[in-house]
Amino acid sequence: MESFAESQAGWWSRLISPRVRHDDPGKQMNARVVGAVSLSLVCIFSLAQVLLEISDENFETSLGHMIGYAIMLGSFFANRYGRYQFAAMALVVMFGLVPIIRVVTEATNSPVSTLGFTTLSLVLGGVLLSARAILAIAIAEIGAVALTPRFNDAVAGDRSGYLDVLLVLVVGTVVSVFGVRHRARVERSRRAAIEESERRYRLLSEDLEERVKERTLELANTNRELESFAESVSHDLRSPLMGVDGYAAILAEDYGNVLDGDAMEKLSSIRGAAKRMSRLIDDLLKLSRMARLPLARTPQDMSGRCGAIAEDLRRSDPNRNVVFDIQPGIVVQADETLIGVVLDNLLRNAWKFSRNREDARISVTKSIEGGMIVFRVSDNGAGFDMAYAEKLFEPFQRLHRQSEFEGHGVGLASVERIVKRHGGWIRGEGKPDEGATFSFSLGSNS
Amino acid sequence: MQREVTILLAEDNPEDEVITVRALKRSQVCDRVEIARDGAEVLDQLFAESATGVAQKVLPDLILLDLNLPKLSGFSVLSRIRQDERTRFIPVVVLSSSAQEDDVKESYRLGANSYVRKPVDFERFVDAVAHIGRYWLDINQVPSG
Repeated sequence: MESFAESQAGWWSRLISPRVRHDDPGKQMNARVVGAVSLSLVCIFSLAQVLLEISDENFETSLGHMIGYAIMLGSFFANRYGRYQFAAMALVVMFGLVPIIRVVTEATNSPVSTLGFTTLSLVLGGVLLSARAILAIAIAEIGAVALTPRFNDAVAGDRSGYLDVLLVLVVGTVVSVFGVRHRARVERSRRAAIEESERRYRLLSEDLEERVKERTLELANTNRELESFAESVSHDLRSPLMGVDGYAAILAEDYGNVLDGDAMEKLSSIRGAAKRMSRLIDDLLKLSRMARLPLARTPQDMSGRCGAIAEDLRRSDPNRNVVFDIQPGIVVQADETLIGVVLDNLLRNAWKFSRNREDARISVTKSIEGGMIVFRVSDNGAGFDMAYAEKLFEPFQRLHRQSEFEGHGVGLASVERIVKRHGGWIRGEGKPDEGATFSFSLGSNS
Repeated sequence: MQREVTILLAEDNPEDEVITVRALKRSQVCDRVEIARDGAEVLDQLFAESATGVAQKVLPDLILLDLNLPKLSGFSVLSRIRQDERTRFIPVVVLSSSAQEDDVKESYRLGANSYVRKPVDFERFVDAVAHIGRYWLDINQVPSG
């Protein structure tokens, strides 16, 4: 998009002003201030010089300078958003010194002429301000000097004007050529650097994408392999287990009349261990399948489902007196099967661990914490020591002895997996003999 | 005299064989149990003799098929059984220690009549075998041809 200055100054501005913009609005503001200051200085100094020349009755030179300064001003106008304001300011200071120096030299009758300063400012301008500024200054000087001899018939002997022109031309040309070439080189290398970094960035991102794809595929393959490994391991482990249990049963059957009570008891221990292992294998399998089930969120009546599980538990042991306090109307966006596993495990745990309590109470609540929906299942049962809390969700880790509370240590591990698959989290809090509370979220879109 | 009720058990694991035979005996669902210890043997027992034209062998009333069989897999055996005119109506119950979804699907696709995962618990296994025998040999009707 063209800026205001560009559209105003048109081709001229494009010729004399470098197209440089600051992306940072703060820097652009600074540039504007510097631009305004330097512009004012140019106006003041050029006016001073021209006035001085007029007062010297040196009208011709003043006319030349006026033309030159007009071009300079145009250049500054067109250039006011550029980054060359600093350089311009230096130039202005140099030019501004000229009339002052002239006054001083004329007053002191010193041999120093404006020539040296003009040259100096040209060099500085060339280095700092680019060839366009040189062009403007050169035109100013040429104008000034060229007009001098025509109107001033007392030129005799005064060759400094021509020398001035020659110097301006030579220095201006040399500096311009160098300046332009230097600038072009800088621009080229800058562009090359940008292109190179762009190319590298593109390569890198392509490479990264490729690698992510590869890793995802690898991961999916590994997952699949692990799953089929779990399947076949469970199959291969179950088969000999069947032999252990079957043979122990056959042994008891065939030799029951020969074996004494102790031997029979040991046989039944063997069978008990075999069955326990088979349950472990089944649970392991369930856990591995859990990760594979596709997840489909639908609205789930959590209160209703908790109520159904509670009914089921009551029926399983009608002698127990447990108060279920289930907050009504909890609806959650979750996978139908998986949320069932979560609720079943948490409520069954609460039921199991509160069985030594006369006034057992199990509650299910929903609350909103930090913009997130948090569900809680609490009981006032056996609880647990928080020192072992991190073991709660690890597979096959248990915080209670088998003789106190039976279990395999797979339930909460499954719950954690499911909750995490929903993008949520789960936390367990407890105190020995006071109860346990499991809080969980099912992710932001629950 | 009534015809002997025969079950063909395809099982390569000797322990499983003993246990299954024991379970079959306990449940008293059949008169005779024939054993094939690999896939090729199953086909031999079913087809070999009749193919040579020697006295037509009596085909089993029920086939209990393990999937993990040496030589020919349970799946290949099953598909051969279903392709052959003589055996295509014989009830085949897959008895496997795996309950892999793929195995179950493939078994049904190939024409298994039932798929049973062997329970580790001997009592439950006996119970399952008794159920299978009673259902497929007593209750269920197969075409006579």
